[in-house]
Amino acid sequence: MKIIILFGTESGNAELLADEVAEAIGNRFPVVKHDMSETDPMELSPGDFHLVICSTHGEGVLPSGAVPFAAALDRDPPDLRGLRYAMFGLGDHSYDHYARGSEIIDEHLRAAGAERVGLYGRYDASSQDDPVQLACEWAFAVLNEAGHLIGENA
Amino acid sequence: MSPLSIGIVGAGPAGCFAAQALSKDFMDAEITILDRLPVPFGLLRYGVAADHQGTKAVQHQFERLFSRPNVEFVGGLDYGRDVDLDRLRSIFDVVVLATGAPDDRRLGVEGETLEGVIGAGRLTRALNSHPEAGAELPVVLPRVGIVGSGNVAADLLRLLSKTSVEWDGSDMDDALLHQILPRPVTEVHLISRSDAVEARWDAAMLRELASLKRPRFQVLTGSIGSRGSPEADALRELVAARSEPTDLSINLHFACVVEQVLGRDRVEGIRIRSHTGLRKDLPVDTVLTAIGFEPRPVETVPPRVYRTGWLRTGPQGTIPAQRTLSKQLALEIARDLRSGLIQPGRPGCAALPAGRTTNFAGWRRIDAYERAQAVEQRVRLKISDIETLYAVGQDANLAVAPARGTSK
Repeated sequence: MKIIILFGTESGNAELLADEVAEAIGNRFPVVKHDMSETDPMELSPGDFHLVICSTHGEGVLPSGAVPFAAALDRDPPDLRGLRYAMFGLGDHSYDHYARGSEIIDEHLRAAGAERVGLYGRYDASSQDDPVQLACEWAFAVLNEAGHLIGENA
Repeated sequence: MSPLSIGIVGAGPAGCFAAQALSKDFMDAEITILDRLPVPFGLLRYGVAADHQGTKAVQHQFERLFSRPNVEFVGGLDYGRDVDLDRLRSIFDVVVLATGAPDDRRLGVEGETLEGVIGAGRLTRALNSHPEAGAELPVVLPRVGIVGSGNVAADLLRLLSKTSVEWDGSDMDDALLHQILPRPVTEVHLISRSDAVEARWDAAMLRELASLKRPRFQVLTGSIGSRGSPEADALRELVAARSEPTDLSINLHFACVVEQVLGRDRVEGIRIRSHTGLRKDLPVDTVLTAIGFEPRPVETVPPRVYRTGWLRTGPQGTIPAQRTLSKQLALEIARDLRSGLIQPGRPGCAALPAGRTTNFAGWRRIDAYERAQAVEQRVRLKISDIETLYAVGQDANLAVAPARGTSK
């Protein structure tokens, strides 16, 4: 089983986190990185475990890199039953809809039958937190928790 | 074959995103980002409002970028003074200009040169502790006219309205703020050429104004009208929300133009004319212009020289938009490499003229120092003095914490 890191980005922050998480977990798991803007939801496979990292644009809308992916899920939802994923959202809590972009993707994935597992990670841009540290901690926590699903020695 | 050497002029968001895209597409390239100032990040440090720290999150990406062994920062090298385009072309295989559009657009009416007329860019730089703003710090007196109705104007409304506690979590330098705003602003007249529905600010910016403690908003010229847009709706709520008396009135004037800034030596008022021809003189002692930035004359560039950011597009486009531009830039450079227009082999960074320069380790010292100096409820205290910036940046004895977010 592979780990697919699926990111949706506007200004590149989610991509940066995807890079860093891939590097951090790369010696334990086979990892592949996918940009949502170049991913067809039909291609998602229940044979992989997904780490989804998605930012939020403006006042709680999807980042431009995630818009076609969400539209495809909305228009023609594939059957994603059996697909497991964990979610990490980026946002700014000084806005009303904190990390809303990730929640929109989360809702679409669940509507298509996929199952979210583990912690819902979040990074608040108006905090002093280090997003890379948060995302890596989230990924390790999720993978430890879901280890039996993935198989440590995959 | 020797690696491709790339020199990027300007370490603002456009220059940094360009470096990021180029370092991904040309893995072996040696990239040098130059800046006139001893510190990187341009508008991200000196243009984005102190209380919008969230917008600055993109800086994490750039910190990572400069930590790569093939990406160098050279601060304190002034393009035009220390090094010119011909010289850069002899040093680098590829030269990318990302110097932006820093000058405030002029009002173009009588009285615009009176003392007390201040461009938004100049004021924003001063509020952000820009090291070149200190010599002639702008002073904003209590009755203010703001010309413009875009996000920069909304920024100004917010910045002028905040009380001390409303700066919590920002990097605002309170002593500097007191110099720029010696007394609290009591009255603002905002003059918008467009009507309320067509004003260019975002609804999010207007909604943020609704959370401010002091101001009461009212429309004095024109009307919001009944036509809907998220911005007009936000404006309507803003005006309806606060009717009790307050010590700060923000008066909005829509669909009118500035005819003249009034005064003998310094600003005493502003004359506006509505689209119906009605004239009004508003008593103000400061006029802030937020009507955009002057595009630099765009001359054609010689081969192997590229432009990105506002220098390329004119002064429009957000920070994320610079990322999109940088991907386009990388495609163009790839095309010119394939066609043989670019032949690698120039020496790169090492051949830059010597001078009083800083590097990325220097920035990390400055960054650590500023964070350590932060007072309560502030995330940093910026160094506003250029000599101190160099001194801290070059003081190898200062301990440097590991780059933030290093995961190893």
